[in-house]
Amino acid sequence: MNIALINTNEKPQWCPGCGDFGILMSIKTALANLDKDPSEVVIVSGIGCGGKTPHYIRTYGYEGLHGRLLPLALGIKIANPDLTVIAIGGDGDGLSEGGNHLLHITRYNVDITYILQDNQVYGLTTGQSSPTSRKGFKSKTYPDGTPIEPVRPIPMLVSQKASMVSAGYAGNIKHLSQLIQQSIEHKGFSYINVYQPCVTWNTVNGYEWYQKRVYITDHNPEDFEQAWKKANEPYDTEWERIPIGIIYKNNSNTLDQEVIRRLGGNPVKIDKIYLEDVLEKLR
Amino acid sequence: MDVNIKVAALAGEGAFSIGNLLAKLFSKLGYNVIAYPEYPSLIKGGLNVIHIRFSDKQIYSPVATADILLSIGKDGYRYLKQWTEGIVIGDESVSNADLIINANELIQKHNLNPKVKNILLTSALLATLNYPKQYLIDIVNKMFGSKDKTILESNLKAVELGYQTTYRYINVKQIGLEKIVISGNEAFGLGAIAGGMRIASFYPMTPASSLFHFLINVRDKAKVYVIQAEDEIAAANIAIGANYAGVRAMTGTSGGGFALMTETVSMVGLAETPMVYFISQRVGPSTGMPTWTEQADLFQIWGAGQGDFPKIILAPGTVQEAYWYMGNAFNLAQKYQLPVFVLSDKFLSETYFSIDNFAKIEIEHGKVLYNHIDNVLPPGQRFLRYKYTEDGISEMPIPGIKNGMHIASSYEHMEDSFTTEDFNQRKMQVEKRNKKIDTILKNEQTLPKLYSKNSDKLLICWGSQILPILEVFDKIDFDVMHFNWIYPVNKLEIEKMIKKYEIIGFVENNSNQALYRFLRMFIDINADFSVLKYTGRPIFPHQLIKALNNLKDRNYKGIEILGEDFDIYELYTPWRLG
Repeated sequence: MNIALINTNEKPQWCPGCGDFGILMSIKTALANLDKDPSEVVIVSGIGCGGKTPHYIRTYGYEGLHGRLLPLALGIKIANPDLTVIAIGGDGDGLSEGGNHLLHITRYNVDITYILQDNQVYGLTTGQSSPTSRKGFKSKTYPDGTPIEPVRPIPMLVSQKASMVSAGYAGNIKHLSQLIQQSIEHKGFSYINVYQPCVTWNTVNGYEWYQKRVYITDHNPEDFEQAWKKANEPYDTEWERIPIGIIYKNNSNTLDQEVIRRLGGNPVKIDKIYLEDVLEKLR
Repeated sequence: MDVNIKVAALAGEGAFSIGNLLAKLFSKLGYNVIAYPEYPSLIKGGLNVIHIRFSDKQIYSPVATADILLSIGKDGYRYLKQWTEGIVIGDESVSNADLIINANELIQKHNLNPKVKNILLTSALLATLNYPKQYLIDIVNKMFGSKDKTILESNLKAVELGYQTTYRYINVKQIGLEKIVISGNEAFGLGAIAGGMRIASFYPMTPASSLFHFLINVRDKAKVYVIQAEDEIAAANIAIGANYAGVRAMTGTSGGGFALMTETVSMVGLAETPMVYFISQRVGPSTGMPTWTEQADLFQIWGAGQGDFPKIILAPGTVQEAYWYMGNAFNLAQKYQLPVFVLSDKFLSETYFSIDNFAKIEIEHGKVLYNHIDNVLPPGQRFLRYKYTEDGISEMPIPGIKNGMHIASSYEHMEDSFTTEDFNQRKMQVEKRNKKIDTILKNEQTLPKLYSKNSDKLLICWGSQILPILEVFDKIDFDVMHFNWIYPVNKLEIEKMIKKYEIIGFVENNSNQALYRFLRMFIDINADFSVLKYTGRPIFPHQLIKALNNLKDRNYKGIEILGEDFDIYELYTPWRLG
């Protein structure tokens, strides 16, 4: 697909240098490479700077509520499993407000791709601590330094045996777009934790900081022991080494295919009413 | 013939299984049947009672008294004797019963499985009614035929032993064709199926859950998929996602669960996504009394969601209406692209009624586009999803349709769905959405249902409380207006309808006069009186008659508050049973 087909007339309204630009470009590149028709793609977002992503890709989209993008995306995918469904939102959206949904999405194993924009700070609400802010991070919430520990999304998802768990970096578009492409192609729930700088509110974890630390991992993601080690490496090394790439992967049955099996077809294509069959059973 | 039976046993001992079996059996003879269950929020212990009524005439409501009490264990007798005008049948523990069936002794003597006790007692009860034994045998064969042969034989032997009872209370007979007996929630479920609903997502909450249990039970026949979500917020969002993708979907809960769903109401209000919420009210506030009935959540539903946007609220009162309104809710949601609320309460949801006919529901998609769009979308542009129109409704292509790309957005937006903070666009979008109210009032049957006998006095009610009123309709000198359609309110037409009445009274199952206060926001109406009940039980027919007589003595002025005829506190408080 020509990338021009999914360009929009509007220009993104993000701070110059924001990691969201790299993520946007990576998604577009992945979709173009996959040769998806724009009408067959739905991008679902929550609220936050990154939540505006659907506005800048001319596919179908749903800009929903803070933290609720996963159940919304799940509903879309099971209603029409032919669609490519991508959910995208920030760390506050997915790990604070929507934490419960992230815990459970791995159980449904619905075939969607979830890109979590992890900049370790709240952007749109102007600079409060986020669930991935590291201990000691100075913010509007904690001017003397965040006194509590961050959540660990990648180990959490690996321990849940999510179907595919990856880490990406907004500063490496080539690698990230490949990851997104692989995640879309993977049958099952795929999660990409994208490390991204927030140039306005997070002066600690900038491009330079990441550049020194991220590296592309070459471990076997289907080996749980190796995956577990890589998932924890940033925490075990005090963020000195940050692996990016596919961290963990498995193959298991998806909810959307289960729905098709149960109903005997794609739900959006079934229009027969089965009332009489049910009444027959009741009589 | 009009017979009332109460079956009582401690929770977990099978009173409801017996009640449902009896309801099915009486309906087989062509009788009209009602079966109303009452139980505390417990799995074991506490008393479960099911009130079964059957009649050759049209019946609408359970009544407080009983002609026959079947008490399994002594507690049913202890607490229900004072409500029983007729005979008491009990097992050997009910030493004061009129008819003692030595069920345990018989089971031991004939070496039967102890679990057949309830079938034995049911058989004894049916024998007193001279009920055709063969029908019971047929059902027992159906219930246990696929199981271990010894279980079936044990149950059939129990039927024989039960039928040795020689006491005869009355003689029932075949009076017509068999009817289907369904609960209110099953009627809502059938309506959803008839309305083309394909995906249902819920989080368990009494008294809404049994609708989803029913859907799960018939899912393969009905071709519906039911998901139990991680919480109510997810349940609502899953259904919204499906509706956005063009598949009719619903969620359901009670007031407490709906509190969590509320943020989604406002979202679909702005994004104009079709959505159906089923809400079965129970006793609040907060956790309240989970298994009892009330109609106090109208303002919660109407007020749900920040901001200003149209919605539709329906409150069917009978099983026929439950079926019909639920099915049409999916049409309304798609035609007007807004949230539709179908309200019930524990009383309607969990009570069983006989029904013999299901009207066909025509599927209408309105301006939801399922096919191709001819106009090619120029590069960089989106489909005008929120285009300004005369009727306030814009075309909504579902994902997968070429040239229909747009965003459903929880932000205010322009015609092409892009976010805007342009004041003029904002004003026009508000006006576009609000236009739907006029379109609905013009196109839909939004008036309350009037039961008229040309009286100059009017009773007004909503939802399930039409049932006790219809039960006494022939005995009271009132016309009755039932608000099964609640909102939007057709001000002009309703004011015309009520103008001729000298006296107007409301009957509500709450203490906050929800419907009366609600209607006063929209129409010029002054009630002379209200009959209110908020104990946790529905209004019983005899209470309504008494209340109207009391009111007559004071020129139909004031508020008549109903209680229960005696203190039943102990009845449902298990640690007091002993």
